[in-house]
Amino acid sequence: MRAWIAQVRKGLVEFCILAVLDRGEAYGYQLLQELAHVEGLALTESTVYPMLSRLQQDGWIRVRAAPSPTGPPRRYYRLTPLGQSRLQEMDKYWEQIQHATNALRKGKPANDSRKKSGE
Amino acid sequence: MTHAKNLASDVQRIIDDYLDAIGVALQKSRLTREERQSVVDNVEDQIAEMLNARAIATPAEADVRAVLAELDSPESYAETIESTAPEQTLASHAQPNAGERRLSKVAVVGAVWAIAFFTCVPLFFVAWTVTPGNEPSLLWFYTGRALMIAGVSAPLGTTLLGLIAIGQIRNFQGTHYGMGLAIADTLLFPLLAALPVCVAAGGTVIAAINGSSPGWYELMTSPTALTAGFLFWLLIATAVVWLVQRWSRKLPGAS
Repeated sequence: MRAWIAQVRKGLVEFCILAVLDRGEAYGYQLLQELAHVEGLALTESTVYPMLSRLQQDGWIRVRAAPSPTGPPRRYYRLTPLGQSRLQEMDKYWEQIQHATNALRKGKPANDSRKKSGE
Repeated sequence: MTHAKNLASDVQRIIDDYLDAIGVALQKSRLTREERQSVVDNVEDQIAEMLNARAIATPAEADVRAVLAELDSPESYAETIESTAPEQTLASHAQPNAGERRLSKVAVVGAVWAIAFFTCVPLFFVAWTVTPGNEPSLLWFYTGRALMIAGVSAPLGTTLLGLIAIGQIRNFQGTHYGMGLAIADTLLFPLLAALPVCVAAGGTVIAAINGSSPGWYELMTSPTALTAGFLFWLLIATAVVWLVQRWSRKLPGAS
């Protein structure tokens, strides 16, 4: 069971980071605190911070440095238009897969759920 | 490295060692130096904020160790960076459908520019033939000049746009297609430029085999030399196109 949960979590890291940033700019630790409260996800800094670098590399998020009251300069992240477009695609895919798996659990053909979700 | 506020040097050393260990663990990842530094900066900021939350004016070694104990081990950065690689995440499954993908405009402009070379330059010379009493109008004069500039600059422009289009298709990870057109833009003029060189080389080889040393004019008018050179060029062009196509198939967005 643990391995399966780990696999699901892996796939959701980017999605959740982008979803938090869709609400507005955030710095690394702030983002991490928001993600830490997501039940069942339990993302930690060793997953989130490297992923932020990867998302920045892919052009999905942008970063700016600003002075911090507590120590070193803080890095604030926000979504780029490309990141917003990717989040919409991921949302769409997520909804599609939810409908399909729900239908599968209820014993309906997967196509029915697609029709219902407007696909 | 910017230090957190009010820390004794030996306490700061503990934090630095921890951050250095993360840097070392991240070296196993595909992140660049700048990106690794960005990760370390985020962790450093987190430590500073966690220490600040303890509301202690001058954190002692025990406070720092307590904070570090709450954090992931440096080794875990090496493990998680691989497990969250792009090919294993949700985003890789959320590629847009074929209908949502857009043809690279840069590649299209490059192709149109290439066509300008083959049409505008001859057109210009035809239009420029001025006979007494048949001088071109001012509008025709400037149109002809603009067409000539577009045509003459096409070899450079098309090649550069082709390269830009390849980069664009790669970086946009499947949102753009037209890799074939982008490759054609990139290779068209360099391969055309290689044609006379190959003809000369092929002709020289044929002449050397025959034991003669023809001049440039003879070389370029000899059917044998031209055929040998063209075949040589065809071989090279085919090899280059095959290699580039093979490379491009490994890229996202290739079509």
